[in-house]
Amino acid sequence: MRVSMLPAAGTAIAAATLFGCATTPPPVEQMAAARASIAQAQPEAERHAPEPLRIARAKLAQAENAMARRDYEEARRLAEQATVEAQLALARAESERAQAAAAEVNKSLRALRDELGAKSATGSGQGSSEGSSQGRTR
Amino acid sequence: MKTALTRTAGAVFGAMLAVAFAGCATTRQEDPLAQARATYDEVRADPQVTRFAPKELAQAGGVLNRAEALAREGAGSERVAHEGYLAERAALIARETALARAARDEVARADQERERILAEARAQAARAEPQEPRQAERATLAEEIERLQADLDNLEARQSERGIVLAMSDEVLFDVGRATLKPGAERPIGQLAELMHERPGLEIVIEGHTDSTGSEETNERLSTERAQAVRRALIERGVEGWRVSARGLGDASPVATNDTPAGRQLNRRVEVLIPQEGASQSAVGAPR
Repeated sequence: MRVSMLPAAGTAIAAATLFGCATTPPPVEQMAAARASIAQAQPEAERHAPEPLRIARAKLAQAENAMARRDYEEARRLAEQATVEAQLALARAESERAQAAAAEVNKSLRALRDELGAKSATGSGQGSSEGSSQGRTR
Repeated sequence: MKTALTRTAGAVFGAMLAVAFAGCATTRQEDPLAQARATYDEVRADPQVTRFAPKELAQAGGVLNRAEALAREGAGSERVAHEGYLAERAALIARETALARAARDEVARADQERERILAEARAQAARAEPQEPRQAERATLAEEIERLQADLDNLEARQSERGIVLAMSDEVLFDVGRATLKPGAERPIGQLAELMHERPGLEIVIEGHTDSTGSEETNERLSTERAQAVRRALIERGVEGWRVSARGLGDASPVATNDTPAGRQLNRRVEVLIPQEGASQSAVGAPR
């Protein structure tokens, strides 16, 4: 009697292990969220943050494999990781773009100051003092 | 044999059981949250992040806390590592978000700064440029009027408290009793127009005057029509209308006696008032 109980318990535990520590339904929402995040990040991240975008896609591919294996726990994790990775890709792409814009606008600002500085340097003394006060506000 | 088999099977399942528990238990050889924690601390120490992405930072902190709690509760290392991954990414997202907002803020400030610099440059140009030419203008305006006077017969220039007054005799401009300019008016009007073109800042007042013969009403109407005729002639020569105002004063403002023919002739005139600095605008605009 005791002997016959053992395999039954073992099977139950083995089953629990296979399907994760708890019963996990297929992570349909997480998979959809991962795909949506990648699609959202793609246009910007393709150029400005290719590395996290590549990782996000790889994670999604792994999640799809896990889904095919019915390893839903693993699929859910990978889908969630793909999602945050895609979000990071988008955030990085946006920050890269914003920083490039800031660098550009600062460059044009410097050019403007140089131009006006040069103009006031050739002009009156009032102009050159104007130029130094602009330098202070920088 | 059967017992041996079941025993073997039992051992196998026992091992599986151990593996299963090990899988769900924390294996503390290596801290799976070390990297997430390090990244979060680094991001939190960035003043740009606390300033520009406090919400995102708090979110990352929340994810990390959840991961820490799971680790304390003895959740599986895979699960903890997963939460750690999410926490680290959340921290990195907070940093990128802060960088983006800081950069946008910088763009906005740079735009403002550019506007300020340009406005200052414009103001400076407005302060600097007209001042020197204005002085030159004043000097040559007197010269120009002198030249004008030398050039034109019947042109009388005098200084009044309202500015320079150029008086043109009616005989040159109009037939008696009429307000239509004669061909002889071409030259003085043309030169006046030229003066106006050379001094774009100049605004003048044309005043018509008559002698005291005829009714007051007729004189006022005639002097007004004559002043307006001169104004129209200037506008026809390209002078902006707003720079020239015209009015008739009739016989109210004689410059000589109306008792002699010579005096009356002097009183029949069109005056061009050129306001000067020091003569206030209201004095120019106000009737005498």
